[in-house]
Amino acid sequence: MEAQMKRGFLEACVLAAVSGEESYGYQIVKDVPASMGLTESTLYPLLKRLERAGCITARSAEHNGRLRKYYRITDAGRERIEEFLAEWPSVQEIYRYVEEARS
Amino acid sequence: MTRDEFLDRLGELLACLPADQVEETRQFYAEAIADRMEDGMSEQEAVAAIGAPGAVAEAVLDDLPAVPRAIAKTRRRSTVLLWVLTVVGSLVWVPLLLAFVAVALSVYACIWVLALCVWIVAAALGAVGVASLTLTAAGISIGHIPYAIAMLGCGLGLIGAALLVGAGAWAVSKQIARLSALWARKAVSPFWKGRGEGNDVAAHLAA
Repeated sequence: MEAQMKRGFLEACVLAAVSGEESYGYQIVKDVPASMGLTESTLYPLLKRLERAGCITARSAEHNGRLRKYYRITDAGRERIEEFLAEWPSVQEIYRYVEEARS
Repeated sequence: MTRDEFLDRLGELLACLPADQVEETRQFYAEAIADRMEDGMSEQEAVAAIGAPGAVAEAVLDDLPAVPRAIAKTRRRSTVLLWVLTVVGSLVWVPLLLAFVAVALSVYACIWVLALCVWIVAAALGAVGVASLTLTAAGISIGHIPYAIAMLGCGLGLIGAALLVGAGAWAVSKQIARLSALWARKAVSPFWKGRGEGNDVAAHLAA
């Protein structure tokens, strides 16, 4: 998958993964569709970026005697998801064009 | 590799970053390993699943803006190399940096000169308007009524035009403030990453 496109998809997937209940790193890696091939080393910078942009908030809470960081989506993050979904018609249009050109 | 070996290696590889960032990164990966072990993996398996410390460190450094990233990566190889490159390369990077600053400043100046021009036109129209009104008073004092009326008309018209152009200048200035904020962000982006995109523009517009 093209890098820039994958970045957008990953961002949307991670936002979706924290849009219901708050979630944590490993859970997000497991939740995001396997075809995205998300790993912690991709997830970490992405979470930092989303937090900087105000799309998610983070808090630490105790879990089994250690600290775990939980992430939750913000209104700005929900807006970002809406923007992502709004692109769908134009993506479809591009696929249709490519498909028709092939035949 | 054990968890502690992995985290120590990661800490070494990221030593070029501020201590709190290194600690935060270590905690993130410690959590990832602990969560995998809780999920039933052995320590070795959990560490292996995360990937090599080198690749993990690379991913963290890749998220930095261009200039700090280049510095961090060179320093990771060797501090001496960084200093040698800094000194020997100063023939190249000092003029480049100066040129960069000069271009950034001139773009900034050009943008604002545009706004200044509109304000000057507005001020000139206003000044001529006021002068015409003064001439109206002069016309009245010498009793030349048609002249006074003509000057009054000119004066009011010019002041009206000045207000109109002034309003335009205000709008243009606001737009330019937005543009220059955008430009400033672009100019510093190789060196520094701001908080959320669009935040400062919004703050600028709200101010």
